[in-house]
Amino acid sequence: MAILVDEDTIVVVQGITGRMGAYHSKAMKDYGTKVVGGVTPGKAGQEVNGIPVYDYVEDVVNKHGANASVIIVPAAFVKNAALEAIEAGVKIVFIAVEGVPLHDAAEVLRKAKMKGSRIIGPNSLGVISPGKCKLGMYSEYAVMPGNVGVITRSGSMCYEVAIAIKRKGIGQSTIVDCGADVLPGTTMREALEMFEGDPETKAVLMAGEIGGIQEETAAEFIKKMSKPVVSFVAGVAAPPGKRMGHAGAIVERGMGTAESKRKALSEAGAILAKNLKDLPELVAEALKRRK
Amino acid sequence: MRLLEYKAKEIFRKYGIKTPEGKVAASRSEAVSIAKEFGKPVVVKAQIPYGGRGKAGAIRVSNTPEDAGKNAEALLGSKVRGVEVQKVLVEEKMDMVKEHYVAVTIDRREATPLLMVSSMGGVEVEELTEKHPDRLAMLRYDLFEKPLPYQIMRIVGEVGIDMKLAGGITGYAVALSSIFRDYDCEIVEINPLAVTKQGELYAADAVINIDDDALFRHKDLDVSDEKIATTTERERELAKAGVPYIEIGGDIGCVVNGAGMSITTLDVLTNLGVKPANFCDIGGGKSAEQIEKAFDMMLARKDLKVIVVSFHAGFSRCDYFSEGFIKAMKKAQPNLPIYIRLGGAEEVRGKEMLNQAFRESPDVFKVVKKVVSPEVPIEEFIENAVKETLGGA
Repeated sequence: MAILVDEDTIVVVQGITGRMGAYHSKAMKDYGTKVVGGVTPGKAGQEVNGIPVYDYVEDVVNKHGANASVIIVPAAFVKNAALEAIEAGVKIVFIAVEGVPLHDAAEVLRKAKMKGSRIIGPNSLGVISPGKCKLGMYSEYAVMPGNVGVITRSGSMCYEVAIAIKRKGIGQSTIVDCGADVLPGTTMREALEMFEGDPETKAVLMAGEIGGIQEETAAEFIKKMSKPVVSFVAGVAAPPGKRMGHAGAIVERGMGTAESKRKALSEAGAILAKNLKDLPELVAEALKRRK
Repeated sequence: MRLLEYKAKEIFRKYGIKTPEGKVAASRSEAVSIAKEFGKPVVVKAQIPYGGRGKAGAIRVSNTPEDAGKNAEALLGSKVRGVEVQKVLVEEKMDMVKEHYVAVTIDRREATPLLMVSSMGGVEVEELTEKHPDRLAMLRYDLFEKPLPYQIMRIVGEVGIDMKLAGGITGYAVALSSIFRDYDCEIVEINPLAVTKQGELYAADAVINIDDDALFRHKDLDVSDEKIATTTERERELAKAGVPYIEIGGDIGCVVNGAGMSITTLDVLTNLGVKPANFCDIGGGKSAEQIEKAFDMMLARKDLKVIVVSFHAGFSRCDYFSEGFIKAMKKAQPNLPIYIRLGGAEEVRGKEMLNQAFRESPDVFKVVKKVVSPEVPIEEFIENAVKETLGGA
């Protein structure tokens, strides 16, 4: 089972001839992901690490049945690439890139809603169902098949927590990094909803940070969940009004503080970790309780 | 990036939104002559890209040109909300009988534009949402469309605004929705929307907040004043190198890969009762050159007691880290304890490079007190570094 991606995920890489596109398409393929084609307009007919390159996403969909896309192009071109993938009928569009303009993200989400595509990202590590499919930038050493769903808003945090539980012998059903932008294609709440419905997932680890309303809206759903959620929120010490690296990580006009998020999560019944180092133990306990 | 008020008002006027008559002054004498020209009481307003100016005493009513000059002199060069005032806006004083509120922003839940109208102007929107939700009405509409007049009039009526004003407010709301799209705004706001005795509507204050990631599409806008006001020189320099860096004011230097873990590092330090000096994110697949630039900056700082470095690489690479770090160390030869937590992608190579540098230049690298693996939790790593250097926190 797992969520979002599995053995049936067939991937096209948009921007495959770039340095990062070439590197990560190979890494995904090496992991066993079905990467069937790449797209760089004007470079059809070439190959990158044995992966054929096409001019249009539509060609890869028609010839190879691609149903997922990875976008690794400069931020200014993300909108166009994503709209093309959605129009071609790609069901899961993962946008890795950071710095995508807010209004571009809104346009992409609007189109995705109309056509029934799901966006992951922007500014995200992507999604991985360990042992099944990697649609993103995860190193193999961070992941292991298991039954904890992991949700984050930050790539570095995602690594840190995935590895921390792996060291304790706890694997992941799927890891979803929702990304660090203001308008995430897939929200923490949506990921929680999917994990709740996934028989393979027994507990969820959700690590958030300051800014926006994602943890608060996720908390509304946690109240209704049957599975335990262990959570962490970073940013108590972040100065207000400053974008902390991530476009979405900013306490603005008193909104999006770590305190308000922690309060919402714990009131909803989530198990709140004060320190990152406590997470593995709390996850292990949550799994035991849920037998 | 929030535009200075006078620039936002220029844009408002282009879109048909009336504003009080005003001119920008950078000196006392300029302010005096503008006030004389208007021939009536004026308001002298500090131009900084932040709100809360009224409470900070940076908006001053001046009944005579001499008053205007005095107020301009007091404000220019002073610090308001931490920003040195370079310019003031000298504006005719409006005789308003009422203040309302109109804004367009993005609705994070639905990812659509959101029009907000309130009968209460001059207060911040958060206060409205929290304390006076019945005086605030909202309307979501499609990104590629404009809010429709009948929809706007309905919410104007809902919050109890005089319906005689509904036509005018509708025009302004539509204008705001155009500015919102045309300028890639996060928020565009008229607050307060002043109503005169004659029933005319003016934008007494103007907020246009442009998405930083979209500034490349608005090269015609000069935002250098705003940038200088909101960033330090070191922040601007590292921004040029593509390294997110924010100064916080403490004395514990932080260099971490990834924003999420950088934020966590600040939390851990603060929990220990010490103050982080900065946020510096060298993650996200940065090159060795970018990492070198970050360390050039950090190692040159004389105001730090220790630097903690955590580089747990997934998307990034440890060998790039070591290359950049070693180069910067050899140039700076700092006398400052450094603690490193390093691991992940290309860990073996990265550590080999460090060890080789330690062997070849022991004098330069003797300040590197410890290199641990990410198996050591971030809290323990930082606690140890703080204890060793500051003798228990």
